[in-house]
Amino acid sequence: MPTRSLLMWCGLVLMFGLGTLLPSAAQASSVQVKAVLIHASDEEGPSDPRLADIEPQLRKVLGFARYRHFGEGNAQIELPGSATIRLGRGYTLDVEASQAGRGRIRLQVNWRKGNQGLMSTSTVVSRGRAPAILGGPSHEDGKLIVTLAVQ
Amino acid sequence: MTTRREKELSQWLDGRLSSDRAARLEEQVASDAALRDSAEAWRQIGSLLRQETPELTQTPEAAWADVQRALRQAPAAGARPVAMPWNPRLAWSGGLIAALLVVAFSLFSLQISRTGPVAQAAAAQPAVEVEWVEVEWPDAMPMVYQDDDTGLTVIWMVELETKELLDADS
Repeated sequence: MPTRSLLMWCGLVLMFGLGTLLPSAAQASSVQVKAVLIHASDEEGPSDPRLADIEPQLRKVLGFARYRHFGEGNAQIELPGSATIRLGRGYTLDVEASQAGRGRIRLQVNWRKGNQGLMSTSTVVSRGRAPAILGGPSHEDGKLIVTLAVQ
Repeated sequence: MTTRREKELSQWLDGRLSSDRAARLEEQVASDAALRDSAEAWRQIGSLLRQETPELTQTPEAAWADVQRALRQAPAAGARPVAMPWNPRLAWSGGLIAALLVVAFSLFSLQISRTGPVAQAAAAQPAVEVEWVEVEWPDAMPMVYQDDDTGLTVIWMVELETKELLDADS
């Protein structure tokens, strides 16, 4: 009986360990990249509730009066791996992701509209921290911005 | 001269030696011609470096404020359609400028981190480190700005019109 009981306890501990470790291992081997396309301008208008989390920071750093949600996309990328995120309105991000050490992720991003490249960059980012902000192309009476965050 | 002595001499010239050790070293310099020559040579090099090193006249925050101001003043007519010819030369030069800006901001952060514990907290590792940027857009250059308050890292494509306004403004 003691042997059976011991085996049972060992089995439970093993199952618990696997249950805990396997999801985190899977999470570590992939990354979720979320990108939001935003139009910033000085025109009058209501705030967009979809941008409530980021708008105060954008307002502080960029100074525009109004931020409109133009589109968004996300991708789960195996590390290393790549994906194309369609943001809407013809804008796309080509993203290559790889491990950068100390739990950080290297993202090489090409922001384009159709076949026309706008900006390419390589950044090292941390999961769950403040997003990278890409921006600058003029659109209508404002500027286009992409927020790029990883989880 | 031993490495330890070189280090001590360097600290003495920077005024970072204790009074006891400084007094001892002064005596050694007075009696040792080689040491005296080294001290004099190092003093001259230090003086030259101080003359050649430009003063940091504008903080990254002030530089970004210039960009913000330029964005506000950019005419709507300056807005362009996205479809533009790709110019690889501009892309590479833009990338180089971005790299220089990142280095400049990093050096500034390093300078801040040496000033005290509060500044050290502000200069903590950023959420995003920018390795390089290429702008595939004619007449534009990249600018990288890290805002300590919000933690945001902005990788901005400054268009030529904006740049011209920026120059005229400063």
